[in-house]
Amino acid sequence: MNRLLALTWKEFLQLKRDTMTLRMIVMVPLLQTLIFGYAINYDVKHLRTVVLDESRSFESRELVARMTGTGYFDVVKHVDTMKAMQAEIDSARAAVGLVIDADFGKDRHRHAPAQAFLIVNASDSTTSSQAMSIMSGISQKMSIEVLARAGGWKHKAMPVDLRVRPWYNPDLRTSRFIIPGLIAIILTFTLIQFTATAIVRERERGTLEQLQVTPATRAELILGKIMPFIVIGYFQFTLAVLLMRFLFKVEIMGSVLELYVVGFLFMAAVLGLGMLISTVAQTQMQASQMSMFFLLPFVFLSGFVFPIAGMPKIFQWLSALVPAKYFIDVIRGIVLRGSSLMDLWRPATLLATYTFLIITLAVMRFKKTTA
Amino acid sequence: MSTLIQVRNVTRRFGTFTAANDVSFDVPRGKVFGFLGPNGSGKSTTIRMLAGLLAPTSGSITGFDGLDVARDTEQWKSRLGYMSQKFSLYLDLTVEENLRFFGRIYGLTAGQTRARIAVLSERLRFTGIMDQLTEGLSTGLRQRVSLAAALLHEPELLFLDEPTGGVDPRGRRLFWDLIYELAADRGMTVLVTTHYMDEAEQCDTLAFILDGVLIASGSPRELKHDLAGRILEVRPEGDPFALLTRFAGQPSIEDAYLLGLTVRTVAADGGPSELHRLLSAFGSPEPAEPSLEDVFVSLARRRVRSREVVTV
Repeated sequence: MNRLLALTWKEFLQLKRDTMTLRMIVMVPLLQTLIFGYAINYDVKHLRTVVLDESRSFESRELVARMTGTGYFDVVKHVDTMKAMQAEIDSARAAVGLVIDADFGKDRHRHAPAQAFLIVNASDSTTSSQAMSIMSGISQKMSIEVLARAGGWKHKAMPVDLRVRPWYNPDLRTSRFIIPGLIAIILTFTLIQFTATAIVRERERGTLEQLQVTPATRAELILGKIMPFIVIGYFQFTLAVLLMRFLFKVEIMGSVLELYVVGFLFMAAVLGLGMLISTVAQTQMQASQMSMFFLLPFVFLSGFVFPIAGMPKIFQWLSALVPAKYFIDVIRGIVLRGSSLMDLWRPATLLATYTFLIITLAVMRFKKTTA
Repeated sequence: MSTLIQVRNVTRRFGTFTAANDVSFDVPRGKVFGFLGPNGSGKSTTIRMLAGLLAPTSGSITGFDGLDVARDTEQWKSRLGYMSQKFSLYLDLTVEENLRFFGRIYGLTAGQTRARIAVLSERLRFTGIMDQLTEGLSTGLRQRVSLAAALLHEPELLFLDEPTGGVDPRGRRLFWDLIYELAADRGMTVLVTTHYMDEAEQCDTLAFILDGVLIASGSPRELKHDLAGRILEVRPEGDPFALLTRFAGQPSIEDAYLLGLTVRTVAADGGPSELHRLLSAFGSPEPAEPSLEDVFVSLARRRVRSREVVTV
């Protein structure tokens, strides 16, 4: 126990002198939470829209008014020719173009299909699909109103009234969805790299060998490396949770204690991965590059941004190797839905199993490469 | 003379490569034991097995009155100190922090550690630099601090793995004086690997390893005994290089090489008189004392020849 404390004390002394790593410990969670929290937003409002209104009628102006009334579109310009419209969209000054047919007003009265078309910049798929769905909603609503009147429907309300209740995120804020997952990503990002490079550095400099000729056991050496990083991990975890709660106003509906308990499992898994990298990498540079190599697939296959259910089968299987996947399931459950660990027993058990396996593997590999 | 460590039939394989092959020797208590061999000879592998860093594929290493390195690894390690050629203190810690850390690792109390640091820093003359980061120290100072770290817990056996690499001759001299002093007044056993023959010359016992096989062991005097009376030197009038080429392949000459302008020859087994006759044609041959270098060159050549016979 005294030896373990000595190893931990030594690690913190080294950290105290390593200003670069100290800065990373604080700045990575701070900046990433701020950047991702503010920047990732699927709910794209105020799309810059250019209008070519060939009809110049009451009806065409009504269409434009309904469109801007949703808040999703801002008309930035009216143009007179198709050429001018194309110039606006080519130059990305506008993302959406609405062209209203010259006979739009007349056709409305004649009960002929009144025609308009919407141009979207589909090189940005999120924005364009949102613009398309909102506009088709508007046109359907207008059509139904006309049909209802023609069919003699006298009531104010529509015959079927289906309303959507977005539970757990009633105002559909992206940050509520992003930030809990982001915490898992931040911990993955920093902790894998810190452990991998810390162990490789000791091997490179010969201090690991010096430790191995001392009576310190392998378990003590491994725990002495892991414990300081668990402390650092909890510090970053707390920093990110505080930002989430007080800056982004995402309330934690479930138990904070349970969050910290599962956090331990997750951090241990990530540290195990860092150790695994350290048994393969020869230099600190290699360790750092290998950590980066793992990071991107970890972000994409964790369900942090892209839903795993939408992935091809092979990637769904691969995502089982990503510890952040289980932790994100748990943290979203606790923070957003107020679930207890009993509700979340499946991802929590999978995470615990994963942690156990990865640590066992890392210890076995560590044994092989050092003894 | 009692034995501290017994190495018996130790073999270590890495895949199909045999780094140490059936090695057996004793390390006598309280002596300076030199372990010699070129790079890649299996010297480091053997030392690492003795230090408990590497498990033998087969064979046994016992010592310290009944401990077995494989079974009592933790106790075994607490009895030895280890200083490697690589500077292995933490560069980003101060001298004192490094020593306090290793003191705690070896289970010393804070008071014991402080007392030991005071004694060792005095003796190894680095009292003034306790608060400096070891990164900024000269090679000689670093070496002394590493030695102090290895001696904190008063080990019975001190491993020195090429301890004087990169140290100037004066520094080497001082370092060795210190090692002998420590060995003498504490009865500590020292196991050292080295490339330098003058350092080997001062060891009490030597073991020479080549291609993973222990090919000779004994005191420097015992090792030289075999070559006694077989070294002849001649200072030719003409080109000494030309002489060397003429000597090549002569059955009465085991080895010939230049020492300045002098040609030093080693007679083949039982042929010193024939060699004397041969050399007389080029000058007046003088007998010379064999050096350890002669011994090891001769041993290595014999080993190479015997292997060639086997492979032919």
